Amino acid sequence: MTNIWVHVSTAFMSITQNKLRSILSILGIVCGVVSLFTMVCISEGAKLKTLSEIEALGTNNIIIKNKTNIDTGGAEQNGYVEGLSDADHKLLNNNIKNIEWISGLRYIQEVVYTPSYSAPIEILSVSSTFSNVNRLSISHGRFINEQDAIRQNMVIVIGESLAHSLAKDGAVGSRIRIGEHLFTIIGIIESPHRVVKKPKQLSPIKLDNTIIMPVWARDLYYKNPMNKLLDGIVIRMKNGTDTNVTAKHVMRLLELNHTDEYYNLIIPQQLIRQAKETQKTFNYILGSIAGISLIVGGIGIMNIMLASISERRKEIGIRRAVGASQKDIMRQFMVEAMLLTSTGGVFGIVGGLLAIFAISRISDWPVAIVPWSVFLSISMSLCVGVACGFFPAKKASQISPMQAIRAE
Amino acid sequence: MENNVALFSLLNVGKTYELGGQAVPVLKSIDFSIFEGEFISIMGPSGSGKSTLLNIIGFLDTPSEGDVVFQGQNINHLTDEELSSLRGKFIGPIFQSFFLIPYLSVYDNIALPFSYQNLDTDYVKDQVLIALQQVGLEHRANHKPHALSGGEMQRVAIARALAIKPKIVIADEPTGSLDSDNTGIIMDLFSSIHRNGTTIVLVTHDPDVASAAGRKITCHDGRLQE
Repeated sequence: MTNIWVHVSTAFMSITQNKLRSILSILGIVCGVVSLFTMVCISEGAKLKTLSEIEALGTNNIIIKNKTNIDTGGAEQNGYVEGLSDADHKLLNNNIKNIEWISGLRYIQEVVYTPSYSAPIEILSVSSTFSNVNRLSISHGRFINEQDAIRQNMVIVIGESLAHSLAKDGAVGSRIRIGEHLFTIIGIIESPHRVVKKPKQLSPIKLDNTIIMPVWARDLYYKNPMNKLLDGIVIRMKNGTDTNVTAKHVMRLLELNHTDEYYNLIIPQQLIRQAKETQKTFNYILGSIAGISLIVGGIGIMNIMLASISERRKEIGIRRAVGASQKDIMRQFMVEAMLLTSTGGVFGIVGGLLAIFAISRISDWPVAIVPWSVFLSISMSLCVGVACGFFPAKKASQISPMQAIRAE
Repeated sequence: MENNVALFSLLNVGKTYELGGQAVPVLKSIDFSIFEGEFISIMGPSGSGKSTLLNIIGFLDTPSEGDVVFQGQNINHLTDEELSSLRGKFIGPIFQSFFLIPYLSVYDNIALPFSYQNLDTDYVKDQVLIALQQVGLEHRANHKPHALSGGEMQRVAIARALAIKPKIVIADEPTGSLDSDNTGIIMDLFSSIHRNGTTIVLVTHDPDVASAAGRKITCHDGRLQE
């Protein structure tokens, strides 16, 4: 039984003895590991992006959105109302259990005027609970509250980027004209990327360049008293609630007034599950491609090892003559194969990092370098070394010492 | 130096090879003992079985029939691991073509037998340096074999055989590839090793080389004659 380091140093000397051949023999493994590593990082990047996008919708949330533009909505067709309304908001609030917060929202198309600025800006009228539903962080001032709705205060909250664009006109207390009406800024929503240590800000809508006003203010722009229409309703359920079950309940309630062709139900929990399933399939496909490249690389190693063993019969004979057992010879060639493939693995990771760097520079693909991908690449290349080194090593160990000495 | 303790005994040993489906007997009913401290030469024509005999003595081959007894132990039924261990500890092999590993230094070639035994590195270093001194090649320790002359390579091979302090040195045509000057140097080395009490079994075609041995055996058609 030999010290493993003796085998490692012998393997190192033997590999460096014929550098060009060793480099060529590990090329296959390098390519295999580059593809494995790159694929894992691209796949992880795509997964993280998809999941974070879905999680931004709020995993405890149920989002109901109109399918079509509701500007012409509100009409009845065969007894069903087109578009969501305050009535639906109330119906859901009164009938769904375990609601933590519920908020209706409506987009408003208007031009915004300040002394130095005039442009159409995305405006959203929401209920006061919107901040809670979406866990918004307010960097200055406060969010719209219930009193603003009751007193019909002409107040707005704006996104941080918009506040920056408006400069001093975007400060808390400034007044902004939206269409025909004058509003006072009472708060600024902190930009999501600045929210680090606070609970993750959730929002299906990007609010950084948006103006938010109380839901009642919608009536200033849409003067149809019959239909207090909404573009969407967001429900935040209490922790531990099965949103799938609640979603079915929501659908049954909405079916009282609408057909399902008028609205979409988005359940982030379900989307996450679906995304994970899709990811799994994607991973199997990528894994198979990378696996095939590694097998091809491994076959290359096996060929080189077999050639090397037939060239080194004399060496095997000498080692056997001075006391090496079959197991020692087997170990020596296994270590050699593993050293070759793990060297290939290390170069493959370096190549993979370069490939990922190039991909992220050239394309918009999200990539994520996860520590386990390094571990996976090294262990896969070691496994290929074991699998592809075993047969040649076994063959080497079975050469009789006398045969090997006579090989000259 | 010689005494009556049989170090190695071959009892009715035969060796047959299969060649093209036919059994070819190489050694026939050999009864032969080696005593501690002996210097034996084996001569004979090519194909007479002398190298096969040497391989059996060096645990590199096993007999087809008969028993091989080493230090009182029948080695016929030992496992590969056990036989390898015996080779590594007790047998110092020397071959006509030196058989050095080209990518290892002189030092590492001499230390090779120790790499299959778990020994203290300082002990190994001492033994390798002593062996190098014995063959007069201390200054060549870090050189690769290709930098040495034929005579020096054979001296390295002898140092490798001696480093483990073997019970028997087996030498198969050790001077076969050397000129007369180097042959003289190598034979002087063998004589000195023998004087130090090491048992030597040497196969040769050269009667001058054989004459250095105290016991001369001829191998002919698979049988031994003293």
